[in-house]
Order: sequence, then structure tokens, then C-alpha cells
Amino acid sequence: MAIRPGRHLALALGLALVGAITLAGLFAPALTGRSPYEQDLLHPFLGMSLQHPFGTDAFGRDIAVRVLYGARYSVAEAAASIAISCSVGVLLGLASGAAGGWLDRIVMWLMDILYAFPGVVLALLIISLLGPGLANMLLAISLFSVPVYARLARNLAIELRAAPFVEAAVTMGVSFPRIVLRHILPNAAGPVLVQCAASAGWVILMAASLSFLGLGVQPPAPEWGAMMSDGRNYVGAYILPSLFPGLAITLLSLGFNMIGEGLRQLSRSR
Amino acid sequence: MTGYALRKLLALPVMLLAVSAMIFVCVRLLPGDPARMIAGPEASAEAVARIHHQLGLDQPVGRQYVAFLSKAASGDLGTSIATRRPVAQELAEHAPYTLALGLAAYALAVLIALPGGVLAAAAPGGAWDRLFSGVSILCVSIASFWFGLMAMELFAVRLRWLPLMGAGSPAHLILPAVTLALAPIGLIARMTRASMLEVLAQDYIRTARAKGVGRVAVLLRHALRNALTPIVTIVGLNLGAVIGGAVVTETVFSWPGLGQLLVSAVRDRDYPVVQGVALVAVVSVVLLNLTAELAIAALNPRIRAA
Repeated sequence: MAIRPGRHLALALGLALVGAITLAGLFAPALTGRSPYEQDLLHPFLGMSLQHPFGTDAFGRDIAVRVLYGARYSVAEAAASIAISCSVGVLLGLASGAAGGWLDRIVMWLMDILYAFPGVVLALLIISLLGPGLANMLLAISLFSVPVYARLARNLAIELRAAPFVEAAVTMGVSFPRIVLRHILPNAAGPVLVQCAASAGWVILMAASLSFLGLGVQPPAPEWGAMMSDGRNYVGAYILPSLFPGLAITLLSLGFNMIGEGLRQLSRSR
Repeated sequence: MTGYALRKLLALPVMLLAVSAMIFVCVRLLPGDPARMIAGPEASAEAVARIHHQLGLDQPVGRQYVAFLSKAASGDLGTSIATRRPVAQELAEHAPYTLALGLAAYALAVLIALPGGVLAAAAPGGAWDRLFSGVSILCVSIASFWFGLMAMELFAVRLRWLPLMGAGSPAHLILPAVTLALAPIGLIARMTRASMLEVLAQDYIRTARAKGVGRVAVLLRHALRNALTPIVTIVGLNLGAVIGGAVVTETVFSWPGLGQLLVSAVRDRDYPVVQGVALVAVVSVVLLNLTAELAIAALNPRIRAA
């Protein structure tokens, strides 16, 4: 099915936004030719100019350069976190839904418990357990999303288990793991992908929030949330160090949400 | 209805036991010795052992959990390591602020999103629908701490219309409440629109229109009532997200609620406070979800049978 920009405006705009930001992060060294850590202590808080399009921060670092490099963090954080929660959740959900019985009940009950924790509270609990940092933050965010994928995959598995081709495979004596991986998983991939795109926006906001609170990626790394945890100290006097990283977070999250919305429209119109 | 409510209520204690056990185990796995933290780095081994004994940390974990539960049931959640005050007292001081902020934000969200979503569904594809759908997707995408800081710069620093941060007057509540309301506005609006569109495509809506029921009456009496079930579900489920969002919003605006207490406790590794706030947050989410489920069952008889 061809994507027509006119009819699928949200999807096209979302793909353009996410694509542009990802490319900007990927080619940040070539685009800027400068290091995001390069300080110029004699020129802090410069305004917008041709030389520094987004101005400079408290250490005279170029904000535009740092924002471009920051795209690397956010896109990678979203990809890593979704890869973890999606693979764990989908496997748990598929196995649980396909097996049924007591295994299904126990897994779903555990998912309910996990889901009762508000995302940020669960993340803070885990970070207080493991300490701040990128890896622990990703683990904390991933854990929260596991029940979302598990529930989705379980419902798909129950639906697909009753499908004639799965019953045929069962009758032919195909083993349980093989049924889950070869017969059910490929047919559940579509809805799972839509969910991945839809949750990417949330994951990006969550990661940036935790770094903003000083519990995720630590300064001086050019991560957008970490840049804002620094920049918020100067709100009222200098707004540029907070303005641009936050705008970038919002645009990337908006891009993913528009992709998610567009994919949902596509799957509904089929 | 009574049977359904009873079944749900009976499942409640099991759920509460499970979440409290999870929090307890998480906190018990914390690196570092809490007794050492209380005693300070220069304390002797005997002093640390004494505190160990006082806290009951020399007991088996199972017995510790039972002791924790029975103490928690009587309102004793331990003592904060940072302030040396009872955790329950800290919670009681901070909770009203979070409650006020959460209620204000949620009321604002429902007041904007529900009518907005109904109007959008009344004329899908129209100008209002496009505008409102755009705004609601922006609302769920915006980084709330960024919005908060920008709103602060504009309304408190430049225009001087509103106070910068802290609490004390109703005016202090405006910026944090709007910031916290953004995400639920987006979610409730999208859910309302989708749910209304689904109901409006039903046969009985066509029947109502055919027999000459007015546009407004069809929208409100026939459609909205039936569309409410998924809307109430999403409102109930997202209260947890609002409680989570309060953590970030309170930090931005130095609003002295539970969220700020939690963030500073995590930074200080003040484990009794982390445990207390997490417990309050999760128990309220569980109770709020139960309330939403019961409200749905009251609205929709079909759910009760299931």
C-alpha cells in the first residue's frame, strides 16, 4: 500500500520529523565540525547569531552543536528501551496466551502488579536501587513497558491460537515453542510494531525527564534532558540553554506519536 | 452489581499485599547498609549492630516483611534518615499539595478534553476536529518540564502575571496545574473522540436521528452515555500517569508535594521515605483503578455479567 502524503499526513510528517532528527544526530560531526564538549569560558550565554545559531550555554559551549549530538542519545535510548521491553513482553505474552491455564494466570497477575506502579515511581524505585546512569535508566523505563507488550501479545496469541492454520500445526504435532515462534509470532508482528511506534514518544519523554531530574544521563553529556537540568538554573536570565533542547525533545516525541497515529489509521482503514 | 463489586473488593487485599511485597523487596535490595547510613561513617561496629537490631534488620526477611506490614497498618512507616522525622508525618505534610495539584490538573483536563472531543466527533474531518486532534497529539508529545520552564519564563519572569515557584496562594497552583494537565488532556481527548465516533456509527443512533431527535440530544443523551465506558477506563488508568507526572512537575515548580519528596529521597538514598512514597502512590493507583472499574460497572450493566 503506497503512502500518500495527502491522505496520510500524520504518518508522512512523523516520518519526516523522526528521519530528519535521526540523520542530524548521525551526521552531527560532519554537520558541525565541532565537539559538543568544546568550552569557551570567555563567551557564556551568547545570544543567537550566525556563528552560534542557538547561542551558547554557561560554559560557552555551542547549544546547536550539543542539540544535534543529543539526537544520538534520544533515538538510541528509545530504540534500546523498546527493543528490551518489546522482546521480553512479547515473548512472555505469546507464551502465556498460547499456553493458557495457570502459567497464563500467573504471568498476567505479575503484569497487573507491575502495571499498578506509575511509570515514574517505578523508574525512581529502580534507580534508587541501582543508582543513576544511562543503563539503569533504560532498564527502569523498559521494565514499565513490559506489561503493555505482554497484554497485547497475549490477546493476539489467544486470537491466533484458534486460527485454523495454528490448529493444523498442533494436530500435526509441531512442538509448542515452534508454534509460538513460527506460527503465532509472525502474524502478531504488525500490531506489535504499531505499539512500538506509539510508545516511542512516551519513552523519549520519560528518558528526558529522568535525565532532567539528574537520575539518568549525567552532564556534561549532550543529552537533551541533562542539558535542561543544567539550563533550568538560568531560567529567568538566559532561556536559550533550556529552550532548544526541550524543543528538540518535543519534536522527536511528536514525530513518533504522529507515526503511531498514522499507522493506527492505516491498520484501521484496511 | 453487588456480586461484581464484592468480587472486585475481595481481589483488592491480594493486590495490595503483592505490591507492598514488591516495594519491600526492592527497598531491601538497596545497596549500602541503612544502619550504617543512619549511624554515620565514623560510628563503631557495635553502634551499627545496635541500630541493625533496632530496625529489625537482623531478623529473617519474611519476619521483617510481616513486621513492616503490621507497622504500616498502624500508620508507622519508619523514620526518615535525612530529617529524622516519622515518614508518616512527612507524607501527611506533602500529600495535600499533591492532591490539590492532581485534582486541579485533572479537573482542567476533563473540562477541556471531554467537550472538545465530543465536538470533534460531531463533525469528523471538520476544521475543529483537525485543530483539536493536532492540539491533543501535541499535548501528549510535549516535554512537560520544558513547557513548565517556558511558561515560568513567560508568565512569571517576563509578564509577572503569576508567581515563579513554590506554594502559598491559589495563583501558585495555576502554572503547575496547566503543565500537569497537558498529557491527560491529549489522552482523554483522543479517547473521547474515538469512542464517540464508534458509538455514532451504531444503528440506534441512526434510528434516533430518523425519528427526529435533535442533534444535541443525540450527541449527549444517546452517544455520550454509551461512549463513556472507555473514556472512564482511560481516565481511571491514567490517574497513575498523572501521579507520575506530578513528580516532574513538582520538581520544576518547587511544589512541596509527594513527588518532590520522592525525588529528594531518591537522591539522598533515604530509603524509608522512598518506600513510603512508593507505597502511597501505588496503593492510590490501585484504589483509583478499582473505583474506575466500579464506576464503569455502574454505567454499563454488560460489564457486570462478564
